[in-house]
Formats: sequence, C-alpha cells, structure tokens
Amino acid sequence: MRPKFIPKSQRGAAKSGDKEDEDARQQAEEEARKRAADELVEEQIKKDLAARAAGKKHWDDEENEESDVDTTDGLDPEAEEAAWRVRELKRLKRTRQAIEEREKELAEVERRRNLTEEERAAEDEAFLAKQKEEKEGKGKMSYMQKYYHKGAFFQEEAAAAGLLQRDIMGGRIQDDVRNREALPEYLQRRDMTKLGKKGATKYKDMRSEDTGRWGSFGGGGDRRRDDRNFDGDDRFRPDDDRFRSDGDGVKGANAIPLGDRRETRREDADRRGDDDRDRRDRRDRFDDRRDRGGSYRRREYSRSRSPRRDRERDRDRDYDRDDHRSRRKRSTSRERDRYDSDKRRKVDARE
Amino acid sequence: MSKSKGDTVQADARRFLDERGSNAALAPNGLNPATIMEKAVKDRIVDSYFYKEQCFALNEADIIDRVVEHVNFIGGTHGASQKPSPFLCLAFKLLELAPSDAIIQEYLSYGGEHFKYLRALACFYVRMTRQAKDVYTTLEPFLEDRRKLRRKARAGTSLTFVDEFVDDLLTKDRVCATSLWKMPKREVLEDLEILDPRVSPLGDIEDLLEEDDEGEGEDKANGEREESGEISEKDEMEMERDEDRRSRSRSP
Repeated sequence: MRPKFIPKSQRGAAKSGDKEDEDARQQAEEEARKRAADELVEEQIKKDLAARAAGKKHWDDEENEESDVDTTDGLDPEAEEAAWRVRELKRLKRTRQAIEEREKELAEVERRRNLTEEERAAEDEAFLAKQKEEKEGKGKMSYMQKYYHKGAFFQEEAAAAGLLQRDIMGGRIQDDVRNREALPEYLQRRDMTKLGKKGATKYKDMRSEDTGRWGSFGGGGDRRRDDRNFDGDDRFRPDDDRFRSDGDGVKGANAIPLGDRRETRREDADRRGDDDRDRRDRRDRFDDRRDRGGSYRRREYSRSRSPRRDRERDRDRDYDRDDHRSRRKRSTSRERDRYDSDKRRKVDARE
Repeated sequence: MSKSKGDTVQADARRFLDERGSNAALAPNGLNPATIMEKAVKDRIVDSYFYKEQCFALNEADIIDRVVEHVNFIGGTHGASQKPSPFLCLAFKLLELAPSDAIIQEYLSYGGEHFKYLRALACFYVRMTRQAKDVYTTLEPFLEDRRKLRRKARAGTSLTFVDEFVDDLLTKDRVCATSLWKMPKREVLEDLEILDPRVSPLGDIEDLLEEDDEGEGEDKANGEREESGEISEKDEMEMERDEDRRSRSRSP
C-alpha cells in the first residue's frame, strides 16, 4: 500500500470512512490468494494421484512414452526360439571368424619364417615397390594447390562405400586454376575464398621461408675457422677478447697439444695435407723433449678406462671378425671428411 | 573392516563415497568398488530421486524387492538430463553391498528364472566385480536365456534380450554408462587352459555348417528334435513367470 500524505485537518475524518473498505478489500485479496494456492496444491496432488494410478513414480518423469516396446515373453515361442537361434549362430560365427583370423596371421608369420633370406628380401622388395607405385599413382600436388584431407571421421563408412582409395587431391572443380604460376602473385592463393581478405595467410611454401644456403654450413669450409671469420666483416666481430680469433684461438686447458687419432697417424700419414704437418712437427718436438728427460718410459697401458682401440683391433683380427666391427662407433669420421679439418680429438692418454 | 561389515549396515553411500572405498574390501577382480563406476555417473546416481528414496538402507534381500517393483528396463543414463536408471542405481547399491557369491548365485538362478531384470542386474554386477574366469563361467549359461528386455538409451527405447545383454557384457567394453574393466579374451583363457572351450547348445559350429551344406530342411528338423524337450520346459517356466507377474499386478 502506498503511503499517502494526508493533511492534519483531514486526518480523522478520512480514516473512519476508508478503513472498513480497506479491510474488506484486504480480506478478499487474502482469500483469493489462499484459494489459488489451494488450487495449485490440489492440482499437484491430483497429478500425483493420476501418475500413481498409471503406475509411474515421481522420479520417473518420462517424456516420450510412445517409444516403447512390448517385452512380454512367450507370445510366440517359436518365433522367439528362431530369433534366439539366429543370434546364437551369429555369435558362434563371430567367434569362429576371430579364431580363423588369428590362425591366418600365425600361419603368415610361420610362412615368412620358413622362407630363405633371399625370398624374404624379394617379398619385401615387391611390397615396397607396390607401395611406391601406389604413392606415385596419386600424382603430385601442383603449385599452391589447396590441400584436402580425407578426414578422420566416417572412415569405415567410406571404406564400405569403396571411397577410401579415391584420389581426393587429383579431382578438380571446373573453374579451378590449373597453373597458378601463370597468375600474378597477388592471385596466387591456396584458398581463393581468402583472396583480398585480412585473414589470408601470406604463407606460401617452405621454400620461400627458407633462409639457409644449400651446401654451405655457416659459410662453407671449416666451421670453426669460419665462425671466427664473421664473413670478413668487422662490424660483426666481437669486442670481447675471449671470442676474438688470435693465433691458435684456444686458451687454458684447451691449449694443450693434441694428438691425432691412431688410425689416421698410421695409415693416412702420407695422405695428409700440408696443414697438418706443422701440428705433427709440434708433437714430435714434445716427444723429443720427453726422450731427453730419460726417466720417461712409455706406458704400456693407457690410464683411460676404455679399452684401447688398437688392442681391440688385434683381438678382432684374431677372431677373424668382420672388418666393420673394429670401426669406432662414436664420432663417425664422416664429418671429418666433410670439413676436411683437424677436429679436436681426444689424445690417447699418456704422460 | 570385514568384521564390522557383518553387524553394521551403512544406510546410505555417504561413507562409501567419502572414503572412496578405501575402507571397503576390494572386489574379487581387484578393483575398488567405489571407483568401478565413473565419477559423473556416480554423482548422478547419488543425486537421483530413485536412489535417495528407494535405495536407502537396503540389504541384499531388499534389492530383489526393488528390482521386481521398479526395474522395468535396463540402461545407463537416459533422457536429456542423463537421468540414471533404477537399474544403474541398484547396480551401484550392489557395489556398495558387495554380496557374496552364494547370494549372487541365488539372484542369477532362482531369482533369475522368475525375474529377468534381476538376472540382468546380477550379470552386470558379476561382470563388474568378478574375475575373468568366473565371469565367463557364470555368464555364459545365460546366453541361452531368450527373454525380452527393454533397453533405454539416449536415443530411445529398444528391444533386447537377456542373451544379447549377456553377450554385450562379455564382448563390449562399455555397457550401461559404465566402462567395464578390460577382460582377457576367451581364446586367451582357453590357450592358458583356464577355461574349456564353450560348447554351444546348438552344437558345434562345424556340424552346423555341414548340415547347412547338406540340406536346410533337414537341419531345421534336427534342431527342433534336439531341443523340443527344452522348449516345453521353457514354456512352462514362462507361464509361471507370467502368473507371478500378474499376481504382483504389474506388467512391464
């Protein structure tokens, strides 16, 4: 009820007249509200009763009654029996198929095991050739062609419909551009719907992204020397002395003289280039000094815990093993050939 | 814990769920019964009206009453709100109660003859909690039970059979909104000589295939002759069951 201002002069008179009306109205409203609430409750109770009569429980507020099935047993025993027989047969067939498949796989494994080495190789060869042929049969993607994936979903359905082998990338729609290289660069888009749009990617292919130079590792030639070369540009030279290439370029513990790998010393000595010669001379000087010392005696065994390579080789020769066994596994010498440089090798430890 | 389990009955699942089964005994297959069902499904079960009202303070015997009275379809969760079915609620209750093998045998054999949904429920429980060998030996006899079941899924109601349901339990990995534990295949157990090869009531499949080759009419006659005795027995049982149901004034 809204508060309403009544002047003092009119206060007594207004009250007495309106009050009874007001009370009556309030009472009426109250009763109406009560009745409405009662009706609501009654309706709910009726609904509940009806539901209970229909055999429903109040937790069972099912929506679609129409999708029901008749599960009364024994209406047609013979048909039920026949249906069950079919189901049982299907089950038996399924288990049998599983067993057959497994046996087939085992037989295949057994067959391959019994083949000779050559036959197996020939079989592999044939398989690989077939695979390769399949791959090549698909054709190459043309320049900037849009890629379509076959999709991860519904593969079984696609296989059932015989669509799994179809050449998705080979198919073209009629107004598709055949040769994109003939187009101006602006029109060379993978996805023509993206043409002129903000969302169009500028990415073309890996080749245009590549900033390397083929065949050159950091400028070509020896990497270590070239790292310090900075392409001959003084702007890129470090200010720090430590990184400056001065003379040997190594300091501290790294400056100790290095020996060569034994095999190279033995076999390739005459094949070595001139750049190795000075280093070898230096090593010879060391040996001279040690010989002059007199007390020096060459150790029979190295202190290193790893077995010495030459002994290993001897043993191998005794056992007449394959030649490749005696080769060192780690630090393959391929890099050495490629850089044609004197990489820093571990010295055979001696004092 | 096992000692106190005899005298006290937990009225509701609160303790079971709060302790996440850490105090309950493990199921015979080594799984924790409190975590066999998925968390989301468990929460829905505990929230459901059916579970709150009808699964409060049940024991193993009351389960039968509830099944007979309220379970008229199998299924996990159904409807848009993914309401758990009474079947699933009672299966959860069984996980909580962890009935012994003897009780389950009663559910399956005597109770199962009369009430197909009780058998389905017990089969489901056996699949969830028992070891692979026991599962195969217990469930496979019911591949002969051809009674109809109503199955409710999100898509709608469909007709299935007890043998089909049991077959699903043995082969599928997800049944009734529950991811069943990965059981070794029957062939594997046969290779290990834990199980004997299953002999179908129809006989060996090779014989059947040969018969098919020879003549189908003959085959049919053969099958009927073989199983005529069984059929009449089955019929009697079904009659009994129908009477039973009528006396309970409730038809599914």
